[in-house]
Amino acid sequence: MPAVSDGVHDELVDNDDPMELTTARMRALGLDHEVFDPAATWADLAQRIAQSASLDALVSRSGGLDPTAFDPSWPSGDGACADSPT
Amino acid sequence: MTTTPKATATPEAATIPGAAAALRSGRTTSRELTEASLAAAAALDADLSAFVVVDSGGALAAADAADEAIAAGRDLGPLMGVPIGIKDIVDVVGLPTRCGSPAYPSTPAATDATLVRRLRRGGAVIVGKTTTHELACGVYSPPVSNPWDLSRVPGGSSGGSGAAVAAGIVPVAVGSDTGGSIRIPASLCGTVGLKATYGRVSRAGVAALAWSLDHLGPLTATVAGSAAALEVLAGPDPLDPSTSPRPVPQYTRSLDRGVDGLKIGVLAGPPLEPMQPDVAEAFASAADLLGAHGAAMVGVEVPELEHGLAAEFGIVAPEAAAYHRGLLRRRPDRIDPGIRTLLVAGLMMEPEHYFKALQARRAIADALRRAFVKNGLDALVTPTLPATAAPKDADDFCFGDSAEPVTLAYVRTTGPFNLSGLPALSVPAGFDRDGLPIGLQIAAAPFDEETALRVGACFESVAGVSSRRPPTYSTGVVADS
Repeated sequence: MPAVSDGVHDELVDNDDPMELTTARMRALGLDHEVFDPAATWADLAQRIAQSASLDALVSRSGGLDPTAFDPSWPSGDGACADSPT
Repeated sequence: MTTTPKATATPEAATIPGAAAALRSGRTTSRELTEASLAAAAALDADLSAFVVVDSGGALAAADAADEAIAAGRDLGPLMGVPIGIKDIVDVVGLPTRCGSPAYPSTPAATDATLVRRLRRGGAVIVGKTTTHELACGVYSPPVSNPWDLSRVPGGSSGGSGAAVAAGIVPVAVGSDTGGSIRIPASLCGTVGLKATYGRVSRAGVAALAWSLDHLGPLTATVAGSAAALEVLAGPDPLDPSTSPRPVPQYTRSLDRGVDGLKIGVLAGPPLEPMQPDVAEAFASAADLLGAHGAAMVGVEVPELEHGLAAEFGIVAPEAAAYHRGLLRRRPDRIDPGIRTLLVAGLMMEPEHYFKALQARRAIADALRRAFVKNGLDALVTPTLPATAAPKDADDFCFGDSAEPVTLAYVRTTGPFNLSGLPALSVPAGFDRDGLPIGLQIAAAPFDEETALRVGACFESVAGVSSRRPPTYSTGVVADS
């Protein structure tokens, strides 16, 4: 599993131990209630990081699109597609 | 408990156009409709749990006001005097917004959400708040039961709205949709569900799940009802800068135009597979039927949609975590463990992951645009979901030899239209071998809800599946005279 980088607490924890890193990050975020489960969090986070990695090819193929430029109002006009640029 | 429809009831009152016609002709009053709705809720909701609160006093007062308006010759619009349910993430003054979560306080909302103000202005009668999956973040909506089979899920997160409409308690209920939460319960409960274009319906006064993916819209018994409800709900709102200034069309005007001359894409490939065979068969039949009624049907593949789930969840987790970060720190023990883990992970994800998901979202939206433009499409159809209603205790679907989590299966066909912001309508398309509803999803270009509704209305009129009612159903107590 890929390790999560942590700019703040790298010096405090053993980066080879993702569980410890997760626990430290949760503590740093104020998430120290007993109900929080670092193991479940790490497993979930690892899955999300892997899911994110699966987007690399699509994003790369798309030329690194500006994500803020998405305009849902295509096409102009009253719903007809003919005048829309691709 | 199974409720047999009453022989003396007025089925037309179960739809918005039917109720509107009955009210205006004097065949019934809003008070009668509202009393019928309240009686149906009292009779059925012990089994369905579709409502978290029923506001009898407020509803009857609103009904009387609507009756006075009708008597005075005023016409406030298509929902005047019509009972409606509101998902419990939407602020309704005087009622708490609990978001399906014990972590939320029971303090009554001080103001109405913008969409509720619109509904009140239009004379609608708010019967109560419908059950949501906790924080609108899930597809099960416990403890709600599916009216077609009480052991099955109604879908979610607007599960209470789907069950309430399907069971005939109200002809319309408001839902929200971040990855399919209107269309999923619509499909599983056999109702119509419309997620309008992002920016078409105000989100002001509505608890967020993911700001950039959240949409509001109606669940109704019929497509005409959906069109009528959207006319009331849609429009610009200074309290929600994401709303569009575009004028709101009269959506009901095009419903009877048929599909002759339209070009409709039939989605194939990702994200449809795997799919239950009965769903595949119903989808193929639906496409054939639209073709037989004059639409030009063309097969379309959008390979980028394979990445829809990764983009969807890559956006939902950090946005939901940002929205709920205070709650997460104050009352973590009152949040469902699975949702709590999602929120914590969302807080801990690196910005890189979030922005990559946003980039993927744009790539997917662009791919859908290219599919529409290149093929000259007016609409695109898919099965709303690849599977019918799961048993309440099911974690996974078995598709042949492979298993897939229920949540992922339900979101993979609906989520792309949250990512792209395109309008998407779910209409009943048939039933599986167990008698469970199957939905057809109809997407259109941005702000072209009119075409989606037009296709849906045509399909509804020729498919002949919308008149079938679930075993747990009440048509109320309105006398047919």
